[in-house]
Amino acid sequence: MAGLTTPSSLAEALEDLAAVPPSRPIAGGVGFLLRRQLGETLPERFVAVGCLPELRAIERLENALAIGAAVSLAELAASPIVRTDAPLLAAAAAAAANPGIRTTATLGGNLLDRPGGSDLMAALLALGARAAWARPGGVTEDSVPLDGPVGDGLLLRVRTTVPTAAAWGFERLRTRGAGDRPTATVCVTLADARAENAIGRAWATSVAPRPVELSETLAAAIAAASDEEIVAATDVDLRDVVVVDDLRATAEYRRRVLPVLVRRAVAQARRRS
Amino acid sequence: MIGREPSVANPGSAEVADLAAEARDRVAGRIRYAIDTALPSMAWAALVRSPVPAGRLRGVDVRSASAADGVVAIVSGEDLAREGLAAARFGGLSDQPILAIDRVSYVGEPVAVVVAESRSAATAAAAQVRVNVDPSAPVLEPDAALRANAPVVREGRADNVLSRWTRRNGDLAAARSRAVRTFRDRFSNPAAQQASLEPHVCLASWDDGRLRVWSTSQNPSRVAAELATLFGLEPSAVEVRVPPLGGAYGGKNQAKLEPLVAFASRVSGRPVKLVNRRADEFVTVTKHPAVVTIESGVDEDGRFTHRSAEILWSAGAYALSSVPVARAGGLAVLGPYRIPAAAVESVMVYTNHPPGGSFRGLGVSQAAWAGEQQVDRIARTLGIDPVSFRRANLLASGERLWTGERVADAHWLECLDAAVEQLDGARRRDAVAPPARRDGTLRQATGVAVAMKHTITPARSEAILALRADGRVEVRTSAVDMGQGVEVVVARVAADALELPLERMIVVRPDTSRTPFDMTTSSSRATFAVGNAVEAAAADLVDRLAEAVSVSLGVPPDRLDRDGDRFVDRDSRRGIGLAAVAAAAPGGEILGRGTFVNEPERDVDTGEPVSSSHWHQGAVAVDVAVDVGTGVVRVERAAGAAWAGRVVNPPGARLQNEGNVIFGLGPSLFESLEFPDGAPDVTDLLDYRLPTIADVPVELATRALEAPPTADVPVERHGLGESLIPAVAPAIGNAVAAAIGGRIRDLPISPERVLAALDAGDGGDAGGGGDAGGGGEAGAAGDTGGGR
Repeated sequence: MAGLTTPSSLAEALEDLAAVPPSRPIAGGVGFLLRRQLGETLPERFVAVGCLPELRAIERLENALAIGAAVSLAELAASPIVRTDAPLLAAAAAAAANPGIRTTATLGGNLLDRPGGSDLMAALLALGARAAWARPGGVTEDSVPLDGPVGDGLLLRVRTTVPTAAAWGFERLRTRGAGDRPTATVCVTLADARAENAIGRAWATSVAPRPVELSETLAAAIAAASDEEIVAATDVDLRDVVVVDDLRATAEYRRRVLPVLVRRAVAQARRRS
Repeated sequence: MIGREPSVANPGSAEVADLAAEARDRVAGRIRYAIDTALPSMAWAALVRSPVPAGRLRGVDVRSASAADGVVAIVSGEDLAREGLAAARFGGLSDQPILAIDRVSYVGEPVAVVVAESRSAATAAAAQVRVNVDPSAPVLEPDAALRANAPVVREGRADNVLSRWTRRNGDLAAARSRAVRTFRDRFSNPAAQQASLEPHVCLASWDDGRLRVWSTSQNPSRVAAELATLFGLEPSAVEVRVPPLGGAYGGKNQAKLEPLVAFASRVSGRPVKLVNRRADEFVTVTKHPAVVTIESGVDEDGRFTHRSAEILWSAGAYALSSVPVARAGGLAVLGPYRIPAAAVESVMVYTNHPPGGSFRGLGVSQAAWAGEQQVDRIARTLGIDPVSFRRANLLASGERLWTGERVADAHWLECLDAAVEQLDGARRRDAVAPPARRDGTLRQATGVAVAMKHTITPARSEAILALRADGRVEVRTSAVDMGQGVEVVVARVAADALELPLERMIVVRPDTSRTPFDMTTSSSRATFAVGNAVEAAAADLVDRLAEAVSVSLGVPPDRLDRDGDRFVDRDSRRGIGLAAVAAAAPGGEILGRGTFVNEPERDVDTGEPVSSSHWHQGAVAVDVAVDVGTGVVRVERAAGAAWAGRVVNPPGARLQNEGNVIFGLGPSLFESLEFPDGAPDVTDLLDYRLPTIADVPVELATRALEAPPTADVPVERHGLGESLIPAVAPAIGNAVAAAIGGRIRDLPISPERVLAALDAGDGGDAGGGGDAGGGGEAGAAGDTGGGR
């Protein structure tokens, strides 16, 4: 039977995580429940962090939006602040999983459990967001890359500058109407979206174990390149990527639809600008 | 509202349906399913399964597991031998042992049963049991099963052919020579899983030589008979009870867990309960995969000159329902058309897969996917509207099916017209349909298909109606309610036949010690066959009541009139109430008994028995939108019409028809189960993608067609459980082909296959003329294959 500690402060939580390894922080618990159902071995000890105030806040700062790691996806989707300042993130949260999961699952769990399969990861990377971690030695700056290696400690919050890029596109490809993990998700943000030389970011998830940046594809899509050119650009973006081949789709299919999704996301962004 | 008896806590008593509240109870989780049953001192079972698809079973090492906490007993093939049951077999061809003995034949075959004090203890101990197998080369593909040097899956057989159903009619060679165009195609269906939300569950207990079983079975009468035979018991010494099921879809149509749970109970001396986990379901029963090769010829007027088909099915390692599946698919593959000459060969082969069993549609869906897509391809190639082509070729009443037998009661034309009409109506209502994607990547089109399915012929159903001293009537049948509403149906039939209020009916759930024989609740037969048995029982009950009143009042029966709740003497107006008659009877009840057997009529010309006492008939029309950038298909609107003859319960009929279409979306678009290296590639409902409510077309219109009531011609009630399902996949396939100009021949219609068909262009339909060349052969070669 797994043990559970319920620290009353961030400091206590860090102590608990360090004191009795291998402990794992738990908030919504969705990922652990799924792993248990799939017969995987779970950690012996959990540290409940879902109620820590530092992880629960959605704050509009002077030039930034900060979101605690234990904010649920439903809260993200419904937050007026997020919907105003980071509508791409709100859209990604609203599209994830199903209503029951969104109520329970947290931003932090979503980012850390399956970083390569998280719609929110793609959205935050497209927004240029960074993270702050509570480490045994103290809290880091809000500058930790989201797609970097995960060290010790606790994901505290993610932070993106505001106002974010005015234009965004979100393409989540799934086979069924609901309840599916996506086959591929593409998030695009564009500054000065209507310009032929618009600048932006494009990230994809659910196509590889890690998030994939699609900068060449985005540039080709912005420039209204031909089908052949945009496909070639995607090949460049994916040259060092092992594309996932699973029950949802073959790697070949994912490679094929990424240019389509990027092109559509750019078109979305331009319509919004 | 129909009355309710107090909830029965003791599972030894038959439960009584509370029909009016049932829907609310289902939604609220208050229904007591088999999973909720328990007995004092009950132990739990967990199965130890074969890790390989084929091999010699050398033994089962239980030493470590036996010492685990809570273990009561571990039962294996050695116990079967010790108990003299090593040769005992059950199943469709009596080919399945209670537990694997000597050899294993598929990944997941039960090898041993761990009985423990708790489910978790049983599961933990089962993981410690070591199965010692010498693996051998498996047979994983049906065409490989037919090779001369193929390993034989079932020992003692000459080859892997489980059954071969053939039928020919007319001069095929002459008909071929008359054809101005000939089309030849190959279509395939993968395996699938029935995926009822409630898994298979069994609780068994022995009491003084009597075996009592609570099961999720669709056919308790047959399971009881099989258990009696297996264990050498008198039929009366076995009781099988079936609480309401949480879905079945054919998957619970044969004995599966019951023999091994009963055996484990006997060995351990304890009541034993087994509940399948979801992963277990995927190796307990599947849908039969099939490959269909079909040829059709047409004359210059667009009429069939002939059709022929070959179907190759994979049965898995044991027969279960494989013989009827091969027959059902063979009967249906050419469709309800006027076909002067025809031939079908439907071959079922053993493979080292989990056994294929009944799957809603029983083999007809696999057949219709081929037959109805080819009809569409022919029409499009000839430049004829597919609806018009069907209208010109569909059978009318009195015409002959391709088998040569006359169909007295044909309604496919009406079904097709009603489906198309409803789809038109849905389009008019759908004022807020999403606009096509601005960049032109969304293509929309319409498809139609028709379906024909037999019902088991012959088959027997019995019913008992018991008038009680409180004036209420127990309706005793062994029809199983699995959410399809059969309890409402039998109660309504009984109430109507007895001319009593529905509220007076009490439906007794299947309990073979109390409810009479019923062949099976499948084949969409309960409304028809059990309904007829109930009507017969009602007539018998009325006769017996009249006899009793006659004696009581001292007047001849022919002087009695029925006056609502009483029988009265027409002359004296003296009367006696029904409840009083029952109260005065021995045992406080009067019984009426009815039996219905749908013996096949013989064709008036040939004298041959017909294939089915009637045909389930339906048509489906759909509008689809295909995203040509991603290949994703969305069914925007769907309409279906099924022949009902006489509707018993209108809300239930509507729900059955809608459920048909929704159920059919899964195998059409999402569901697939494959066995690379013999093990299923999917074992959970995260990866096995059932349709969700978000996949259901916003506009879904269905209709149950009825005959006009006439005084002198009895109209049969038709079941509606499967009338539309076989038409769903080909209707979607036809719509997709119309939308993208390429035809998909392998289910499901996955985005990858759509893109592949787009790449292939119109090779599916534009070719195919002449001697089966062109696009037909290109398609058969797999131009839309690949991926999922």
